[in-house]
Amino acid sequence: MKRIIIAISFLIFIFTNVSSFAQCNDDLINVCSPSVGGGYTYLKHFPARCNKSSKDAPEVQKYTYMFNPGMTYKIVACNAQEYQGKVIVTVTNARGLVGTSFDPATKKHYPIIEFQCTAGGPYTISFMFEDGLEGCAVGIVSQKN
Amino acid sequence: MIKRKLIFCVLLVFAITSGCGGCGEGSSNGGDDDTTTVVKKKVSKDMIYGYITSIPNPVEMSSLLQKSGVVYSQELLNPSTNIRNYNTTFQKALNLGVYGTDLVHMNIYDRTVSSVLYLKNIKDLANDLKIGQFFDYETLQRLAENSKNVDSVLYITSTGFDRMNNFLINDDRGEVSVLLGYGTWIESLYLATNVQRIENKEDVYNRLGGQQKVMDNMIVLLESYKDNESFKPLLEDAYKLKKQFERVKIVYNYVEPTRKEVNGTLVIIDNSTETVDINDEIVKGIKEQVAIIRNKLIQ
Repeated sequence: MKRIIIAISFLIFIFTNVSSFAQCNDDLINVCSPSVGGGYTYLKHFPARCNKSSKDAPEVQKYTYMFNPGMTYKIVACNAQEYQGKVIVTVTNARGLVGTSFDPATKKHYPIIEFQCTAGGPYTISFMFEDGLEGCAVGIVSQKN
Repeated sequence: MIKRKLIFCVLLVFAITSGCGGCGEGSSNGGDDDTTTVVKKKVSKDMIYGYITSIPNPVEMSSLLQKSGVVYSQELLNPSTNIRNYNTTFQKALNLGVYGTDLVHMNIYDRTVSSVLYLKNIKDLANDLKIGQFFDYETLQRLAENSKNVDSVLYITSTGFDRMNNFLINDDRGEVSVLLGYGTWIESLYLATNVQRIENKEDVYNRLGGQQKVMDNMIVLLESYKDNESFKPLLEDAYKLKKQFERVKIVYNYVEPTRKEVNGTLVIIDNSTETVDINDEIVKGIKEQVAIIRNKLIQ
């Protein structure tokens, strides 16, 4: 009976901790927010969580955001350090690519995107992780004061 | 006998762990106490997530009003005493959004000290909806004592509301998130359309016209719960508001954006332009319908 109880306790421990995405995003917001810097006001954050997936067709998490003309926005994205994946943020609208935080030619990651909007409307902010690695990140959109 | 005990224990383990989808931040059954029947509809979480994030943070409209020279008016806000009228989950969710916008508005205008009553209302409504754990009332109350803490107050308020929404959607209470978002947005529109005088009218009118696109997404969200009796009157009024927004004409001229690196930051310059065709008459129509909706929400 004692062995059964130990086995059950072990199983409960495993199943409740095997989830890769426990609290990484909530802690990340406060870790990431200083990257926004002075002169900007927080608007929204977007949790990004992706399992390991194909390098050629990685998992993508998408959100819609309404940017307004005449405003300057900052988009910062921060990775949870315990995951291998490095986040790539891509901004698109109905007309195609607006910008991305990763330059495939130079393999450079830009931790901050500044977007000077002149035509408002719905934009898609997408999050994926380089090479399809498992990743956890948070993206924060803020507006220039 | 031991074999039966083992099977029972394994089943018990699965029962315990399968109920822990939201264990990270505390799970909840929603505490639905509506007197009207609420039909729980399975709506895609991804869909809700995708559209909920398109509802603007009220910081955007209130900061624009302030920059446009609009004078603060306490009378525009939902009276804090109205909270005693909110007894159902439906009313509480909508007015949590309304008071959230009011709180932001007060802070943008440095009315941090007098925002304490609104802080308490938000705390009480959030607790009733079992999402109070995401609203750091004690810290906000302390920060509200000093108007120099406006940035921190706005940050904690905004992140708190975002966390509430994320939790609600993951907890299969997307309808509460939609109501919260609708209340937030309608109150923001109400403030923008009921100010006494705007020095820089063009910017505010253009921003108002741009809400046409938010309207479309709001309709999608509300329609997701159209089988819910409580949502039907909301939808009827929302369709009337949509008709007013349809009078706004927006013309885009697309030009490829410019991208450059500045001090390690990727700077994207959007070279496209848009023209928003909106006038006093159209604004009046939007204002009237927004007032009808808003006054029903807060009564």
